[in-house]
Amino acid sequence: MGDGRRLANLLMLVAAIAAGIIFGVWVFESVTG
Amino acid sequence: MIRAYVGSFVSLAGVTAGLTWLYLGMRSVMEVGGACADGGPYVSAQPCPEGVPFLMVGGIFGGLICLGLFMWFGSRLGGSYVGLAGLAWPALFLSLGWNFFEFSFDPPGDEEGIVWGWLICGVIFALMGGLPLLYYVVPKNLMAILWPADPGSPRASRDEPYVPRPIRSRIIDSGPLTPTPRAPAAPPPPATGASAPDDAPADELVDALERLAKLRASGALDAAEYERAKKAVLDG
Repeated sequence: MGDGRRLANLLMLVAAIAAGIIFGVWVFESVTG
Repeated sequence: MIRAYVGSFVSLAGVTAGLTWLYLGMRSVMEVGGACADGGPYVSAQPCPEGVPFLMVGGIFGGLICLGLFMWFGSRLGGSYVGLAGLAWPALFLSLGWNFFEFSFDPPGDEEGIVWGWLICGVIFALMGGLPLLYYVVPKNLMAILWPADPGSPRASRDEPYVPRPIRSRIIDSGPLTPTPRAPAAPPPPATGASAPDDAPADELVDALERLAKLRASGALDAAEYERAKKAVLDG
């Protein structure tokens, strides 16, 4: 289990955080207009 | 394995989405004066911005549920990635504290000057979120979570029992376990009244050998004395 696996995990976590923020802002803007 | 990745991704995204709703919802409430109300038999002096109560309540409970799910799935990623869940606390209090700071210096409407009540809240929130963050800003601690020396491997299935890493390294990673050869079963004891349990003599033997080993380890017995004593114990 090397650097590739660590990098993949890290990218997945960063992508999840970014996706959550983008999704959250999108929903908020959609709901509140 | 796929389940651990997908579950971690979705649940962590849910946590950050919940935090985002709280941050944005709080800002929209502060823009209308810092308090609002909806529903009930009364006419509210300041109704809430549309959809905000739903999103803020959803952000709290949805975020907590997703945080729990992330701790569940994150623990199956291997490594120490589940430690990232602890950042939710500083993220919550620092983001909301930022709102208090910003609106205390630039209050909504016609208010002038500093809103001290919000400023004090901002300080409290900054302390609540910032002090735990001190742990994470130590590069060694943060790297232990984000770039673990031993990321491990996701468990193949949920049927595989969870074994904490230090114990796993001693038990599982030390190699395949081989069954200990068992002595042939002793014949059943004759049914002649009460007798000591079968393993009592064996226990006494093991106890005696352990005591001898301790004496040898402590230096009370030298090698020759230890061998003699052991032989005497084994010979009965």
